[in-house]
Amino acid sequence: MNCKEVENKLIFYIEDELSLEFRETISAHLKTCSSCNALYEKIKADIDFLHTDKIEQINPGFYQKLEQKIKKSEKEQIKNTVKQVYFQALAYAAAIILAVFIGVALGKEYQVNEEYVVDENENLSEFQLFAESYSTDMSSEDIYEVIITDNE
Amino acid sequence: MNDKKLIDLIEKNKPAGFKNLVDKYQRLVINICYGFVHNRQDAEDIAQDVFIEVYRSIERFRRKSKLSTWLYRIAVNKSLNYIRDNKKNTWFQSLDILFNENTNAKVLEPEDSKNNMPDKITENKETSGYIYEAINALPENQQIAFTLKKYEDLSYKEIADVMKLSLSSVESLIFRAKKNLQKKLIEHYKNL
Ligand SMILES: [Zn+2]
Repeated sequence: MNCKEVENKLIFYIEDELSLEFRETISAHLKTCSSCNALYEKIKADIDFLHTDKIEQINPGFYQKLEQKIKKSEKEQIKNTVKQVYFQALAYAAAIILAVFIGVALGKEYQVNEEYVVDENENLSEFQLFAESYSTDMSSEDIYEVIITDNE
Repeated sequence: MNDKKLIDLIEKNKPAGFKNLVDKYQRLVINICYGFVHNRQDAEDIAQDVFIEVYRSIERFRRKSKLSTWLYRIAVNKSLNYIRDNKKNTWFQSLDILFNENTNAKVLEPEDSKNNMPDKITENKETSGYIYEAINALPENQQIAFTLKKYEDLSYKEIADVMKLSLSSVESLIFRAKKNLQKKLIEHYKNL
């Protein structure tokens, strides 16, 4: 086995995941090759470090701190619910007020339209009268005469 | 207390049941988080968030999966989110430094990242600390599988459940993770 082949199996050698045959070949190589052996030592130190790199002692205040955080977040949740209810009530009130205003405004608009329609009718009837007064229709001439005679 | 009894107790008496759950799983959860962030304080903070989420959503836990699997999954997700947020922060910080000329032209140097290195490394002279960098550089799924295996000694089956993957996918992820780590470590030590 050459150095490159040993390097490709080094981590599995360290993790003891190789067949007996490979294990023995690599052991033999490491005894005679100082550069591969140096790599082996360094990588083994890293892997060993990972195995021991754990938190064994938990901070004794861990649960207490957690309890406080949960209580705080529950309080905030209640506050938020209250806020939500409050805002919902406000929103309903605003909607009702808005509806009333729209109702009043529409009512006014309707009245204005009515007046306008009435005006229009008056204009129309005046226009009709005006137009009729220029027509050659006998009856309108009669009316004209009647008006004139009325004026006299 | 086994998990079934634990869940029963939570249904009857939430505070008492929850305290039992935290007592039973805090070490496991903290260590999973530690496996990702390599810093004790950060690991404890993330673990607190994990248990807060557990407290809020325990009613939705339907006993379909194992309690531990569910906890591990939350712990992995919270840790990954933390790492992502931190990366974003560092990125914004460097942008800030680039665009803000008033900050004495302080540019992020390699030393800065060394200052953030966990305490364990300064204590432990045997290792260079490069192993953390190599693990963090792994593709995310390889990092998750490798970390669960190394830090919690979870079985392949448990890792598969946590990651919602098949057993063979997990085996392949861990194999590739080791290959990648080996390559990175060898390159690093040869160039020293
Ligand atoms: Zn060699």
